[in-house]
Amino acid sequence: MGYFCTYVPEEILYAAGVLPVRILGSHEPQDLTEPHIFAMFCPFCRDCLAQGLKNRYKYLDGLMIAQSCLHIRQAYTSWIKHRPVEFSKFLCMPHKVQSPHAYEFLTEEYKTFKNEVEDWMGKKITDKDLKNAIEVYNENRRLMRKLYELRKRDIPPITGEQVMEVVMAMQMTDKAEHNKMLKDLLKKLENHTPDRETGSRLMILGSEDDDTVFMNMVESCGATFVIDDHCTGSRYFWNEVENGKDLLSSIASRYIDRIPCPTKDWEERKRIPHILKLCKDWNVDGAIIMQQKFCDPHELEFVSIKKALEDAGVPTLFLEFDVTVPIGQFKIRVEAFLEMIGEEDLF
Amino acid sequence: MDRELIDKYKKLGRGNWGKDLAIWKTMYRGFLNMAKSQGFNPFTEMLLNNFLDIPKARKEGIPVIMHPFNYEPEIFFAMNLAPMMQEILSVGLAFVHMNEPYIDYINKMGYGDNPTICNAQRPFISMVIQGAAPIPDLLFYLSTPCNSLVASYQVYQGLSGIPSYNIDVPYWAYNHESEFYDKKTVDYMINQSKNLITWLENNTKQKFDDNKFQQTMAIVNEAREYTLEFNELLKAVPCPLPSITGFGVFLTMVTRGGSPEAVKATKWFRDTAAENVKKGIGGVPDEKIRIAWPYTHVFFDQELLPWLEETFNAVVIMDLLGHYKVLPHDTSTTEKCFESLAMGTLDASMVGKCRGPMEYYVKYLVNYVKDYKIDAVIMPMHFACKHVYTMARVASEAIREETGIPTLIFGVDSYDSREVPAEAIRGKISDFLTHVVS
Repeated sequence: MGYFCTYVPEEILYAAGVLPVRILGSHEPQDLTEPHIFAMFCPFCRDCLAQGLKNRYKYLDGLMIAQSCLHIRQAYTSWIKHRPVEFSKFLCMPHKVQSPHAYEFLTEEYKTFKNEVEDWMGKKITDKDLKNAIEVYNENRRLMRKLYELRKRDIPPITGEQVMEVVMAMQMTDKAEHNKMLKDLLKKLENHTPDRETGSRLMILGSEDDDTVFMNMVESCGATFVIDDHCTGSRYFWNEVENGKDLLSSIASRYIDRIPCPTKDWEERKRIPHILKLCKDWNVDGAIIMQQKFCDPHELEFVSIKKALEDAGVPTLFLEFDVTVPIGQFKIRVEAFLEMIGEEDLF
Repeated sequence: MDRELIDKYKKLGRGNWGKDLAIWKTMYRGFLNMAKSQGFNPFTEMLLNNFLDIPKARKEGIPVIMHPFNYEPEIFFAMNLAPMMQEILSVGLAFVHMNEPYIDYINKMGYGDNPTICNAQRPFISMVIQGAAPIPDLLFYLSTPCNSLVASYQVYQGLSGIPSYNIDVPYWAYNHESEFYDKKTVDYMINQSKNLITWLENNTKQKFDDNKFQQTMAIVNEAREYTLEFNELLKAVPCPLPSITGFGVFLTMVTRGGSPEAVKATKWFRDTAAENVKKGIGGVPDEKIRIAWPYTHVFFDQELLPWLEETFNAVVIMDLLGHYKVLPHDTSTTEKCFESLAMGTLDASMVGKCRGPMEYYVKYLVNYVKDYKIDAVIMPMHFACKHVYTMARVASEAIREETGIPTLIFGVDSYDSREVPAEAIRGKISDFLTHVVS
């Protein structure tokens, strides 16, 4: 099952024996989406749709989305219109996750969804299946938190680029398998000291970001990403499913209470204290705020985030991403930013 | 008669409204001048009172609540609050291009890319930062129709610190077997409306009163009955009223729905249309082309529709907001009132058509074109309206296939003349009507 956006309740799919696979772009220039999706939609969404139109995910049996932003919704709608799949679903994830009524609404939505998946798969999803799925996913989240804990070290044993690879793999492989690999990785990293300078400790935050080339470029300039806040990073796995009234409502609570995307972070903007805490706990020297061009929720949030970080003494660099990024130009800006952060060391 | 009214409203507008209401007062004067030149009627009086009510509420200690263009204020009237629609300001200023300096300023501040974040809200952020915006006591907004609206309202909230409340309107996943008002959605909306009342009580001294609530809903119903009749009357050939009249009905309901003035104004619209239909009078002399305009107006170009009327004898019968079609409330019990309130919110202009998949919107348009004997469809697609932009082509294809009627689609920032200027828009429309429609 291909899915857009990380609000999809993967546990329900996993319990039914379905493998959830996140849809990501390829970072290749394309004009395939022009007739279907407006050029002023975010490049990530257009890139995702291009993969569908190019049939690169032809192995998918189903495609779904849980409501987040209008851009990705359009990518989903155009995909199922032009490349129909056996099973498709728009899951209405509440926008106002701060409403006390969101829990009940989402639980009801999950009940319908569970029935639909059962009909599609031709098998009942038992409580045992759901409990197992929750356990596998929770274990995965706990292991990822352990991996992130290692990045608090003065010399983090893993780079931001490598962590990004781990998170992307996590969004595409069977979580039970991923758990095994993660345990091996954690064991290897336990006493590992990398053969590289840590340099400035950076945070990266903003829109969806799977640009490992960019991460590599920054980390080759004398810096290490030690923490992040985006949906191909910590936001995907930060909190677990906790025991609630019943299994579906427990899953619903997890997705409602998770670290929100800015499409769902109101009335109170809860992301800011979380981001500041990450900066403090991971001893960050500076933050790169990246944003997919035309990403409305992040665009309007950016000014507040930047101010909050700078008020907390964390310098920021803002970069706007497209399907491809001008890596040379960005490198000059990143180097200047790192020089600014390291000013005290120079003099 | 008009002389008396001019003097009355001049007098009412005097005095110090407060520094933050300076632009509000300027707009009042603008509308009064318009009334002076075009004449008074229940609609213009309602608009003028809409402006006057805010300084009056301040004087009387009635809390002012700001809300967006897609939520009717009946619940606020029922709670003795003074509603203030934000877009009256940021869109109202577009008519005279006074919003443009605010757009320029907000661009510099980094709040979003112009024009992909909506300039129906964005200039207000600029006004808040510059201290030029009215400061309400409370702020209310919906989660729909787009990410841009919600995020912009949240920015106001962040900058001003005004207590805010939001109602989440769920997306309706299209399914031939599902109903538009499914129980889960309606219950969700009812619960949120009840929470809104608790929030209003907690943040003001006002108390919710069952009887007042039901009375207000009954007042809304009267106005809604008139609007439904009005919609039917516009089907007549020739169309009994000039272009943009439907937008006046929408403006009435969204600024004053729940007040007796809205009843007067909608009755006046209905009566005028009925009288013209009876006499066979058209809103545009020698009507030749009937146009559906199923998106927003080009607000910065006041002369666009009169130009269409004069040059092509064309009448714009509908626009997306102006085709106000919300059913009357069931006022039999308080609980039914809440249910109706929820359903009314789901039906509101630019909520009903934008909360679901495109099939719903497309079907609505095709039916409209048939029912209103439309000759041409013009869709000025506002750049920031990402919830509709991409389905315009699908809609135009469906309209052509099912009715044979052509559609013109063009990109525009409906609020900023500098993105696509008026001349360019008229050129496109002119080519379309001359070569495709005629």
